Amino acid sequence: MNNRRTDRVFALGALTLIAVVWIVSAAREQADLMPIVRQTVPGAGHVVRQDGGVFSAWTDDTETELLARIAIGTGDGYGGPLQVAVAVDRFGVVIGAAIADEKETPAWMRRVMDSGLMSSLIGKSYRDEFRLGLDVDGVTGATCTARALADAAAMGSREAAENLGLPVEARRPPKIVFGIPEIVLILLFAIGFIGHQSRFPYPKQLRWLSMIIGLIVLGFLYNSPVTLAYITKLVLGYWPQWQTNLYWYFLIGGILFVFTVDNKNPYCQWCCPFGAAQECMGVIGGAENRTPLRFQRLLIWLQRLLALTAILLGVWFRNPGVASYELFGTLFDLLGSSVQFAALGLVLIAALFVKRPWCNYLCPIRPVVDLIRLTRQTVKERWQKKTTPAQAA
Amino acid sequence: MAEKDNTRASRLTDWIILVFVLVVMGLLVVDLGTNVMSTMERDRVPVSGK
Repeated sequence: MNNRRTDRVFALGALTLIAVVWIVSAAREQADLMPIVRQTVPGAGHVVRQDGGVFSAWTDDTETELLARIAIGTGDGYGGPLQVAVAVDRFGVVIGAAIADEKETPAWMRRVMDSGLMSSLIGKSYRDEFRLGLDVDGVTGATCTARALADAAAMGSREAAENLGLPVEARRPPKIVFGIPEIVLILLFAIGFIGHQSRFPYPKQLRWLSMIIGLIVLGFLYNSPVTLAYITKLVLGYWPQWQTNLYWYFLIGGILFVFTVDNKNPYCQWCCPFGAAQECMGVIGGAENRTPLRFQRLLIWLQRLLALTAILLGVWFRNPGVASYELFGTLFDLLGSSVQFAALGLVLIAALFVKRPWCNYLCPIRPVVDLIRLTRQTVKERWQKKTTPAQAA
Repeated sequence: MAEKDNTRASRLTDWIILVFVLVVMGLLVVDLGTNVMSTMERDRVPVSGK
């Protein structure tokens, strides 16, 4: 069996496996909310679920003294929807909150839970805006998760207050977030498009410009490179609110669009901040392209196997955050475990001598890119085979 | 002789790259495993005003 045929067979196998795990994990996802709801009002003797998914907490089962109404609010987290059970008293003041469901990277979630954010929700009124750093505590290094939690708490408190008959203003549509990362991303795609034109005389210089901008803005300033969690999120069907997640849509949509139309990868070689960091190390150490011919296929398959395992785990737990094993946050935010720092150190040292060792042998995005390319090629070939005899006739 | 040295050097480079990849991959698998364990054992942290 030649390599291309092997690739196709394994690609089909991988997609089938992902589909099977997706279906099985979807069937077991239904979580029982009652234990979490009870945690929000520990003093309640009796908690009942009402119509519309709101809960009532009473002192005892005579249902004479209402302690709180509890509603589940949802925010857009890094890995998908983040749900918070929020208990409000009859004046609409938050008296308890607990995480009902989340799909965040465990280290980031821990960071948020260890911060004062959850405690700062207590005492807030449903009328408050729950703005990070103003109404409630902000969390450095896990802004996306913290914002999702605050949004979910705000939504839950309003829903519970509304259920209590308190006057709740109609929710305003979220403001469209279009800032520096979005502008820079569009700029980088535009630079990549110009640089890929065969007539353009300075592609090398333009690629370096693009990489440096990517390294500074998408890397060190905003730490928002493409990760496997983005892909797993897509596979799981977690489409975040477009108004507040334009960056995600531009990034994933832009890459898929350019690939489909042009068969070119607009991201990895041109804007990926981690790739740029490795190339900078390579300039210092005089790195060269070294392909270990003897182990080439083995290394490709190991890289694919690791990426597939991570995707399957993310899908199985319905949690894209689990799937992310990249070292991007470790470099750009200096956040991570000792294991991650050890791996990052090895990668950066290797980058002094070998060009882009992470991208070539370890990055999970490369197998995904290979899969998109293979799918595109297969579809194109089948299409041509189907249309050519018809045209000839 | 020079050709033999080159072949030996290139073979050594191949092995070094393989060992590097296996070591880093091992660390990444440990990290992934830690994520999975945290997800499985995650306790819902309640916060109450009482």
